[in-house]
Amino acid sequence: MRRWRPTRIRPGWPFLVLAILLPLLVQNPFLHRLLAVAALEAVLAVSLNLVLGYGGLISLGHAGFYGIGAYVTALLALHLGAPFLVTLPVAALAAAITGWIFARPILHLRGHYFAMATLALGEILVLVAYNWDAVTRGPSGLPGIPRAELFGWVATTHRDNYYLGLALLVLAIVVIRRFVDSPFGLSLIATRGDDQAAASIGTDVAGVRTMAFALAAFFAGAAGALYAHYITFVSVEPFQLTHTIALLAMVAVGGIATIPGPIVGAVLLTLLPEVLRGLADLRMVLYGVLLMLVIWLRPQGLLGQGRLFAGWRGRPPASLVPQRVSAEPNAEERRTQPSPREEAGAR
Amino acid sequence: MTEALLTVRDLWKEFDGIQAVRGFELDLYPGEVVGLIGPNGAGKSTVVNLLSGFHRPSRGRITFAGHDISQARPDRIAQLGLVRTFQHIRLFSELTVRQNVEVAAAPRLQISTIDVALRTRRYRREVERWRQEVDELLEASGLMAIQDRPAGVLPYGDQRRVEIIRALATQPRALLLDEPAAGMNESEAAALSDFLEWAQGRYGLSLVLIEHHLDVVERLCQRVIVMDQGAIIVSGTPEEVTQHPEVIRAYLGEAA
Repeated sequence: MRRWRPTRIRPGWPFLVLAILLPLLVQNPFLHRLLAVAALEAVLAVSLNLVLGYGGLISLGHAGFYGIGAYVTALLALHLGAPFLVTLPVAALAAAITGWIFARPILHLRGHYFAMATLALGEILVLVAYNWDAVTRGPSGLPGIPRAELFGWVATTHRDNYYLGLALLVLAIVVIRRFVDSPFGLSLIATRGDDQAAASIGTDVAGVRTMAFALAAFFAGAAGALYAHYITFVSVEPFQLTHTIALLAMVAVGGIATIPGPIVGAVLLTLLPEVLRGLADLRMVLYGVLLMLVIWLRPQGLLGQGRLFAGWRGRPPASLVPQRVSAEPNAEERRTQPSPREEAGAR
Repeated sequence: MTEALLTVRDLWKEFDGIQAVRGFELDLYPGEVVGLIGPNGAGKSTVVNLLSGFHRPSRGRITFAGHDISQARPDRIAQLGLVRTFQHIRLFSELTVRQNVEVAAAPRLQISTIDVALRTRRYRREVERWRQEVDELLEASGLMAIQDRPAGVLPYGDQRRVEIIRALATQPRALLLDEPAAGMNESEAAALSDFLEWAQGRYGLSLVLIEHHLDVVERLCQRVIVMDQGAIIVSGTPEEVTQHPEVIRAYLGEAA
């Protein structure tokens, strides 16, 4: 049943138990706050990894979908008094639909051009939020969003909000893992390797990529809804490019195209700056050095496949080398040299 | 007479002022094997790229199984049952042999994202059918023993077989094979001929076969089309074609 899995996924139950027990055992509101933030970051990193890791598409607009979720939630809650059980799914769907509509026309773009188009999307969303005063109140933001409420229980403390984030994270992991393990996921991974070969055997390349893009946006939007109810205030800052870059770092550090990798990356990169806080000015320098060490020593990420210190000899593993994409369909005709593979086989 | 499966009329392709294909014509009947030969640069691969939707024709009409596919996308053409392979093998090298075949069988599944997320009964049934189909194909083709090996590390001949089996997993009605025996020696090419003969008979396929190995062409093809400089110079049975003076001059003469 599992032999066709692209990546072997170890059971995460002990970690889930630990994640539930930790804030009960350690009664420290500061830790609870960090965990609540880390849970949301983990949802964002796991969903970004679907597009980036399994789809091989660099998306620089992921924080924008987070923002759509947060603003939709804020507006629904403030103007219509919509409860949490309405704002959450509506925010997620709004982000997913935006992702779907946006993805169709740009998915034929390759490599850097796709990344630039997603960068533009992120910037457009931020500019709209910043300048559409009548709705978003521009730079002043939207304060006074009510706390999340579930059947009479109100998520007031950091710990309550951490548990909401954890529940969303578990849902995101289950759904995204199912997608990756399904025929759709396999097709997505195939398009990452060679999209033209995939099309030649009937794979709807744009369709499967759009699906992945919309699913990733869905969970980013849901995380935005939790964020809005948790912080009770929404403005543009958390939805900018710098946040997307931080998410990319989480995916890369934890292990691209693995399920647990982005979670580990999100937790590490959320906690690290706080752990290093005592070092004052040296803090960000050390943070940067640690990031570079990981990328140098373990380019596939902490949980990526391959042996420990794979990068020791300075060569990235094959899975991280950008895949060949020929810009024109007739590129193969222009190739006059036999491919190395062919030469090797012809011996 | 039965109706042609694939019909090509007055097909032209121009790249930057160069006429790569000039007035190509073809009627491919169900179960028929047609060879396409000619010197390098004759436009054979361009014809395959045009028929499979990887190039847009400058002029002309391509009809497959009653559908006009002149402007169709590659994935749509493949789903209709006209599937090509590549001159330079293009497997998903990081996936296993089995996964390569599974990708090709996936587009026919009747499932939605909701089915995937909820693992509905329909999803489980479709995936079960999918696995069985792939099992049968791997079993029948003798690839079962290497199903879990990464496709990228296989020897060249095995990669060719995997590529053809992957194409078969789409359940095609016709295959366009672009130099499947390229880079093979005589005995490897003969083994590939056996394999193609088996696959063609078993699945009742029509084949368009671009090939430089004339023994492969003579053995498999009922009809041969010879191209030179973008145009058809002669077509007929393998015997007729290889006797033709213009073929000897343009094609065999150059090879000798």
